[in-house]
Amino acid sequence: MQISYFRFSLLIGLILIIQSIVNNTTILYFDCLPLLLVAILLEGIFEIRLIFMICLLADLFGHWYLGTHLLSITLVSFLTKGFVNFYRVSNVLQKVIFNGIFSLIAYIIITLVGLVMHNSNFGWLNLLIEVIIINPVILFILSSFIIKMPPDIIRAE
Amino acid sequence: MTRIKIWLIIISIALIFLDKFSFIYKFRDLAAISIQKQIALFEFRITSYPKLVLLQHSEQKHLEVENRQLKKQLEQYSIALKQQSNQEHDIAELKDLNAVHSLHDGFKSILSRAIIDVNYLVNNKLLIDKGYNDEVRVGQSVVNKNGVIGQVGIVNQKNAQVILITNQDYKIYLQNSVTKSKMLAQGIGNDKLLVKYINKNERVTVGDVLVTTGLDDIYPANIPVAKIIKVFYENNGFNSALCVPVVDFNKLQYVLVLKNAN
Repeated sequence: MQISYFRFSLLIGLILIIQSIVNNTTILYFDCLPLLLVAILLEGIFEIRLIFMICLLADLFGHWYLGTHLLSITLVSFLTKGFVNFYRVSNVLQKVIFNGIFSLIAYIIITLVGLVMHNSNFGWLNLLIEVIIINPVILFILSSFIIKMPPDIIRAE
Repeated sequence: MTRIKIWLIIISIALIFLDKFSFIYKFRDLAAISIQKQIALFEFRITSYPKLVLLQHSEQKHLEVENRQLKKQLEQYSIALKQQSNQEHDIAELKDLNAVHSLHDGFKSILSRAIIDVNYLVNNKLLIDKGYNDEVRVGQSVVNKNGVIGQVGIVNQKNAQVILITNQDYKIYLQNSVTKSKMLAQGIGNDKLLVKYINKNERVTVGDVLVTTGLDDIYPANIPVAKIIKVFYENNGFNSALCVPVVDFNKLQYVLVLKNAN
């Protein structure tokens, strides 16, 4: 499995900029990096340093407590482990649905942590837009420009 | 891998608690506020820039015209305000003169406006806007709230000339307000008066105010005239005193012409 780190960094930067602008200028509140993290988990990538850094960035820009995203992604990774191979052979629609479901679980964990620590920022509209609209876009960019892997290679952990 | 993930969970929980219960949140809040400000500014610039660029030429012209009109209006209002404050000053002065008028028993007063002109600057004479038609006559005294100004010299139908006390042709009989000693003062020009032939035994000091005596039926008594600024000995066995008028002739606006009621 190979990813283009440069393009990946660009994508993260772009997501953060757009997210900051939208969060500070509209009534919407997006947190798009969990979608990206779940997508790379489903692709079978679990680079600790990469995930750690993206989680910290997501916490900082999303106004969550440090460690919130790391906790939720780590917990979700236990669930995604068994679906990696099936995910790789799925078609686009199935990938979107899988990503959506596991992202929802990640969001629920983040929200629960936020509720416990009294720092919650939840909205149904935000969630729907993230999972239904933003999720396919991120998956498309990931698969088209960032992840470089032949589809027939299946790796077991 | 499972062990690593468990460690990550522990680290994440520790980070959450560290962030919640330590000073880290302050820096985060500061950063969040500054980012929000920059974004708001950026958004404002983005939204307002097209309006500036796309502003119609006619709208610009209209704004220019409106701007000029407003500036003109502002100037007019400033002038009106200045005039109003001047009028208030005039009213205050007239009120003072009115108070002065009531002090002079036996004298009728005629309010008049002083006109500072070349004659004043060169010849120590003052023009006033009341003349024969207003019962002003030669020899009448002219005063204001501060003191004596002079005496009417020439009278025309609608105006009159006042000889100031500093005029070289002017003499007035005065007394020291403190010692009550009598003396004769003469104008010497250059905004000064000279009192000569003061007895050496007289106690005359710098700062003494000289007032009218009231003995000449021209001036009411005890109106300030001049203040002594210098006392010196002359070789004729007498002292002399250099004085300045108590009235500031440069600031005259309204004056009272006193007419002896008898």
